[in-house]
Amino acid sequence: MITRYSDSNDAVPHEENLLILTMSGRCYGHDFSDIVQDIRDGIQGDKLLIQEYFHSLDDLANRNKLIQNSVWIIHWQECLEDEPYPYLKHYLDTRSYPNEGEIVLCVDGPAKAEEVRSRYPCVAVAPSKQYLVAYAQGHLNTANPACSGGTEKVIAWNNEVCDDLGVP
Amino acid sequence: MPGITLLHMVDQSTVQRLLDHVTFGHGAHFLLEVLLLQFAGVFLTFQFSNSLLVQVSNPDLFTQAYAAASIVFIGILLLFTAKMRKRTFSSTLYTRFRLIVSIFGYLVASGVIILFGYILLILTITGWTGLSRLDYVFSAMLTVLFAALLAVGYHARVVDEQPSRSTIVGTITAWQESLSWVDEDERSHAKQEAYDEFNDRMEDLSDLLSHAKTVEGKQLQSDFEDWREHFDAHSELSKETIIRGQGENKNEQLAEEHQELQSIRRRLRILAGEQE
Repeated sequence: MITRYSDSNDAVPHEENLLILTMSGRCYGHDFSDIVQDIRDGIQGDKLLIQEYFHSLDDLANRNKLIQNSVWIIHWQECLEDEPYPYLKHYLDTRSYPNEGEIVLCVDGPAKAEEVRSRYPCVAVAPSKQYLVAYAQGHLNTANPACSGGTEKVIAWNNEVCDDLGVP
Repeated sequence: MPGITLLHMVDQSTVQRLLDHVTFGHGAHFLLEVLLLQFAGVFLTFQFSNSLLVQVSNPDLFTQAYAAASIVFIGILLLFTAKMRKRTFSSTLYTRFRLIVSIFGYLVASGVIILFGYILLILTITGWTGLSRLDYVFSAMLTVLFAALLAVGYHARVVDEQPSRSTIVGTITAWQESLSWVDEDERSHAKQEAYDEFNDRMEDLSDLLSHAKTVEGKQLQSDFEDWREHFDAHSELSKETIIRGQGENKNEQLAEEHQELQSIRRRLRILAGEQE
């Protein structure tokens, strides 16, 4: 189970999970695993490790697992467009995710992206693979022990999740 | 040249795996020692005996006595070999077929001495015609006796150096059970306790597998330590994913580590006697 970081030694190296919510496992004509590899390739240094985490869409009530991911990548058409998952809609509407986290909605095409952005103004909307990779790398290289202030951000995020989960 | 080196390594490993059926990872020195002593016995017998053929007044009675003794020695051979293999960390040695291979190995090792003795010391002198049914039964008894002697000798070494059967079963079972920490409620104190327990049991299993001496046992130990090294470097969420496995969409790296865990667990279940 997730453990609290007491100092910078605990946070290096740090493995970060990218939550991916999808049915098909693909977006923008690519497998999500390949997109994550592109994100991984852009991570600076070797102090931050990235793993994609495919959470079951049948288990979205399990928020305890979701909040352990600092980046949520959500396939808009499959998970939100027709609002088939009330829990997910609720999390986004009420911002029930860690403050230090980053939400990216994957939408195919700029026109649709604009519409989605107006619906969810507090989260990032990526109209293409390049945008998705850029948003994710932007967040991860900020909360990266290899970057200035990154260790503090990793500790803050980790301990925020611990607080949420009641980890002593 | 690299091809030849690889071939040499493969051959060496195959020979070592075959030898493990008899030595159970405790080296061929004892086997060689006993075989050489038996050769010495054959030569001494030749030197100080007038006739090497069995000469008794009631051959039928002695035939029955030797046959009965052979059965007793076979029982000893079977019992000690069966117990010995279950102190190793080689799951294939636990199968009945491999037990038969081990028994056969012991019989061949000791049979070579008997055959050598007859060919060199009797056949060359009296020919096949001088041998009676009693001689054949006596030879069979000696073969089984020497085989049992070898098995008992190796058993003593295994008992001295390997963890007890109850330790093996207990440690593996406790580790398998400790994997259930992933099922505890995320916000419960029980989860933290179960996770700490799991880490302790990982250490225990690592200590247990450090006793592996057979080729396959060492492979299991190496596989476990490699898997553990990667596992320990992951976040807790990834660790849970590795233990639970994934659905249709998979993180390939974690899926591979899950498969490796499944392979290790399958071998450990055999060692714990949970499956054949």
